[in-house]
Amino acid sequence: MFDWVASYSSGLQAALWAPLVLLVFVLALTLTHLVDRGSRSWVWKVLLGIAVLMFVVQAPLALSWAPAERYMGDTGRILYMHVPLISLAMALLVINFGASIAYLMRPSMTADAVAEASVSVAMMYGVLGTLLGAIWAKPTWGTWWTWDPRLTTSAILLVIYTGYLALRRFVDEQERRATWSAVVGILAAVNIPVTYFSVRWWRSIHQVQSNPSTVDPQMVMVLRWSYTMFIALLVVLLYQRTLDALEARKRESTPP
Amino acid sequence: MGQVVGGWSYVWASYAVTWIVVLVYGVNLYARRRAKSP
Repeated sequence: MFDWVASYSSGLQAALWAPLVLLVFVLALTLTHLVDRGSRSWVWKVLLGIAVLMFVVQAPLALSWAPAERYMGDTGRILYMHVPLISLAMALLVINFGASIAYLMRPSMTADAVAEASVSVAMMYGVLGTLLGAIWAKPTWGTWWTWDPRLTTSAILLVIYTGYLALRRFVDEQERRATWSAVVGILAAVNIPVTYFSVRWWRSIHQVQSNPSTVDPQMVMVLRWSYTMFIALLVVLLYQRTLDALEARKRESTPP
Repeated sequence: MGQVVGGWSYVWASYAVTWIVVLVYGVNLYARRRAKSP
């Protein structure tokens, strides 16, 4: 069955796959949220179930079914998690950028809550992806860390958004905190394309982005499976974290 | 160019780290929401 899926998926562009799945899930959640008006929504529970199931299946797919990479050998299997984690962390930071602009154009608790939640989940994905990158680098590059352009810009990105989250903690007044955070969110986003294109702009030890036409179809299929799995989890976490942030704002606004 | 031989301990470590971090973040978020819900 996996062979059939692999042959089917090899015809699609990897670059289109992840945003498409993300869009479908976000639309489903948004619609349900509008209908249910709050945390009673059941779609996130279904998505969580799908994510857990996909995690369980992903392990045998990546560890056994997918072939070993020609040069990296079995350590290449780490990339089935490292690549989706890092690219989805960047996607979440783009969501923060959008929510920050939305807040400055039309201030609302929801835009501010989405901005905060997206960075919170992005940090988890980003730090985890960076950790996996270090674990992968040791047997392949011979070192856990090197000040290569991609690694350096990624580290700067993580430090900047740690500062963003710290700023949110230090400012007590809700409107001022939201405005300052939105401005920082927009300025910080400059580093997202710099990090993404760093492997092309500067001479880097880090690989450039792959193309499905040059990768084994089985590997492409497992990578897409992993993307879908992490996207399903991302939507659940982003949704719950946004509700959490929204409730915190409502509590702040309510007089004691 | 040769192929990296072995390295399974790094692969297992990656899976362990991923599952633990995702689980801790999820449980932490769930606990926060439960504690704050009226």
